[in-house]
Amino acid sequence: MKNFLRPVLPVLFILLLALPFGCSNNRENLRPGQPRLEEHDNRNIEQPKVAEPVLAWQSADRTLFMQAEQLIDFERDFRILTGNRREAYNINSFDQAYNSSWFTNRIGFVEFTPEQVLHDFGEVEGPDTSGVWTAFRPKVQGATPGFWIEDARGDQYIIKFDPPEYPELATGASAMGSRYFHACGYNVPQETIVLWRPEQLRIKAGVMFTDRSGVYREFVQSDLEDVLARIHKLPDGRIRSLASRVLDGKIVGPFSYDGRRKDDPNDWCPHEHRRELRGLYVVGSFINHYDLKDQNTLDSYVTEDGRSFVKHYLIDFGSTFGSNGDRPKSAKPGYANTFDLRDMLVSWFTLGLKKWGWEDARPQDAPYPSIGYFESEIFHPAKFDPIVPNPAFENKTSRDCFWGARIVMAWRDEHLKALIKAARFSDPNAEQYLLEILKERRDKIGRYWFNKVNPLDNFELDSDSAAGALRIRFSDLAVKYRLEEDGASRYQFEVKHKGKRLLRGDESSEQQVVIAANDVEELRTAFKGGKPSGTAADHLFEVSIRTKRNGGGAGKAVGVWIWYSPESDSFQIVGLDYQD
Amino acid sequence: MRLIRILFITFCIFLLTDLCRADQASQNDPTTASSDSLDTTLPQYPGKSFGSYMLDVPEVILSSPIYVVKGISWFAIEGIYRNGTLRRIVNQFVAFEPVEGFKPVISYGSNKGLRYGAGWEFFDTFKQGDDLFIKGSYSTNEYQKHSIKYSAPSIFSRDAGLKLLLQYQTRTRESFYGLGNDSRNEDKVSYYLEESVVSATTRWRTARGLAVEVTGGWIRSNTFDGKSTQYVNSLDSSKTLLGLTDLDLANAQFLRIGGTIELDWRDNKGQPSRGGQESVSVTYSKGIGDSDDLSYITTRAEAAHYFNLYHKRIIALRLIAQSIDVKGDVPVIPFQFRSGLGDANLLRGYTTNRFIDNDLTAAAIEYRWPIWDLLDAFIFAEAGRVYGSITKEFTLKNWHESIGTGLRLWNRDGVILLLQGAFGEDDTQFYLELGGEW
Repeated sequence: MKNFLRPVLPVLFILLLALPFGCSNNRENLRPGQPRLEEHDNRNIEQPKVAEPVLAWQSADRTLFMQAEQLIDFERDFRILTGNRREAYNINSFDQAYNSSWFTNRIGFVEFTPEQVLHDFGEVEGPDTSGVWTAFRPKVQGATPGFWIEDARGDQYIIKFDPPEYPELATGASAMGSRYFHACGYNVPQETIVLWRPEQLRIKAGVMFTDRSGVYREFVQSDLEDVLARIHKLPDGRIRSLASRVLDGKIVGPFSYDGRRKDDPNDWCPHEHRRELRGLYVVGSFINHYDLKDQNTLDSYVTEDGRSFVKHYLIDFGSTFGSNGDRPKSAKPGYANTFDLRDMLVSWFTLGLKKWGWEDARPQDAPYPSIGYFESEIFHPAKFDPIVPNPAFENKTSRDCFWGARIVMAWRDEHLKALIKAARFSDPNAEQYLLEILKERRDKIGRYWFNKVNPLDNFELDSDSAAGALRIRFSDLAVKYRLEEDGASRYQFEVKHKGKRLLRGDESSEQQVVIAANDVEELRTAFKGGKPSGTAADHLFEVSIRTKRNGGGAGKAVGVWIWYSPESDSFQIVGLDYQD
Repeated sequence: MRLIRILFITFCIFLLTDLCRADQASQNDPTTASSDSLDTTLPQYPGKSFGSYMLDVPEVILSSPIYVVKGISWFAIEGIYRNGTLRRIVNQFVAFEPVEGFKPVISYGSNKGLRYGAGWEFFDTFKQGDDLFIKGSYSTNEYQKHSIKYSAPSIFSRDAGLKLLLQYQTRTRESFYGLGNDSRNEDKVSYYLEESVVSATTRWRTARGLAVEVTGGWIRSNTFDGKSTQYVNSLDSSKTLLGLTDLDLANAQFLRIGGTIELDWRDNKGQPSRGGQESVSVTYSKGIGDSDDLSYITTRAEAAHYFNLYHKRIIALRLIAQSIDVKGDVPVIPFQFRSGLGDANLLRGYTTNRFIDNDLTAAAIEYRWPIWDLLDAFIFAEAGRVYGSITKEFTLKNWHESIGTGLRLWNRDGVILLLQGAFGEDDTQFYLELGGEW
């Protein structure tokens, strides 16, 4: 027996060590008052160094080594085994991400109109096409040609084009992608479709660059003509382009989806544990942004309101919707990593009997070249995969995904129409097709992730009822977004104090919980009675609400934390706890 | 750039020097003068070549652990250099821009050891679209291979091309197990093969995948005692036991002419899932010089078919038959020109030419399935046997079987890399090679 235990003991020891970490909670302390909304990570700092990571190596690391490292991360393993994954760090007591240098709560959390989808970017809508553009730098890298320009106002943009075979594809996807992520709360460069005439373009004298053949020479008119000869032009001679506004501040390299930036004192939270980066999995899956990798991010050292700090951007949305930059998306991207060791091993050892969803994809049947291959039938909200494994996504929990799904579901049809308008497609049928696909994908996302977490939100406590009862109103998001029929869902609740159940309510089909006056008195008694610990736990009551759908069993609970203040004899909601 | 060109030209000069010296050694040898002087001793292989001196590696390295990894067929960085996809992957990590035309050759094989070399490729030399490739290589075990290849796919018309080949090679540690389907592993001996080839091939293609080839050329082959230190027996001591004549072993020369009809209707050359590839070839070989009393016809038929079960889960079938028809009452054909079974492409569970006789039949079935975009796994079973005469002895009994598994990396032009392991009656074979036949 001793011999048997000897090899097992170190493993048990490690698991025991992991236990306290496994049970730790990232939630900020529950206290009465307004929940924290700001991260305050815009403190004045010294300019960080320009980070130049070997991005190809990072991709290889994510693809090959990260999965092995995760396997020997015992704390993580223990959490997964016990169903207690680490929740995001940067969330407040209401499970919301803070406003920060990474993210601003917009659609889904504050009122955000379809008009704002189109025009919330700022004071200008793309470059000024009424005056001369001065090209001051050619873009020689990348699949499609382009150049940097300065317009008559002095604003600088990168001008990008569609390949001649697929007009509107990449520029349309980028213009929509940029607006979409902005509306969702992320920092992005403004990207706008612009129609202009070649005659308005001039070359800045004396600009030197290294051409494709490696020769360092002056940027001349023939280079510009060479670029313009290879792009799609409209019948009236105008050129359709994407104008990507150059970011403000000093670019200090990309950010990483894991770890922290060591030379940024504001960067306190490991990126893989940031809510907005984990939830980006769902937000990105909606428009099929399968290229969410370090290479498509940028940090910029900006000065706002007299403070200089690092602001974090998502960039390059050419690989979204049905586009793959210079051509339509092929079958696999969006459904699987380009190189996924886990999938490969499964395929290998099952002798190919395992069939992947993307194998049914038929990109050749895509009806509109301007949209590319973008579909909603094969799409599965939990099987979306970027081309490179993303550490933030590898750590996501159902709560992170529910947070993302709340944002996606807030995109109503009018918002989607406004988004599509930004692409300025020439074919109304293509617009309608895209709208239908987006609606179907959105509802799939809602159905799936709202089923993983009890999707109740917008809690309000009404304690002024004449009868002395407490009424907690809420909104069932599945019903609100018509994923479930109104009246077909029933809600039941129980109230706990210090882990002990005090009372259990009757089922109701109304989106509210009513604690009767005599039951409220019982809560007061529970506060006064027993042994006071002198901690917040004395004041906190958890109203745990479960939802039954279509006559089925009760689903997961959402805990509504209520704080009792004896001085004013009042109750206040101080936090939410979504069961994962 | 200039330095590389100078080095390359120097290398070519030494290559030609070696080639002349090796052939001269066999011509001067008195034992090659008569084919019926059975008691004479065998010729000795030529002395060390320039390349061998250059690459002389201490025995300690030759006997290092990597050398005992048996059966790794060959692996050449040359392939990475040539292949655009692999090069793009490598370029993600290191700046790797090839010098235009220059092709390095590095490979490893358990028999040949480490092989080094260089080549230079010239395009549009004589005609638009042609390709002239001069290459030479030596190995630590004195294998050497030098060649000049010229290819012009559209020299006569849009669909009619020409290929020219001038090649000299030595293989110092080859294995011979005796003739016949029942040859024993214990009887294997080591031999040294020296071979020179000159050939010209014209090829006509049609739009429907039909191609006709006509080939003519000259081949000379010498065999000597092998240099492998692993075998006790030598070719000399075994020749009586194995029924060999001196003609088998030295200075066999032939003129050849032949034709091939090929129908290739595969849907994809790298991952064929539908269609097939069939070919029939007939080659007439006429002995000259010491071999002028010998002539024979080699006929080979080959068919491969592919069936897509679903979503690129593929069944691939292959059948091969080859027969040698000897003309007149003449000595037997040198063993190295006969039909051989066993290598990385056919009867993979056996070493190269494990079974040799006049005729052969073989069949293979593979199940292939994708595990990544350009990577398929496969399992296979195959069987084959050799005969003195297929028409008189054909039977389904005593076929040698081989099973195995592997991975194939491909692109639409063909197989890029093949890694496979196979089990046969003698041993287990592992192969890592660039390219693949089917």
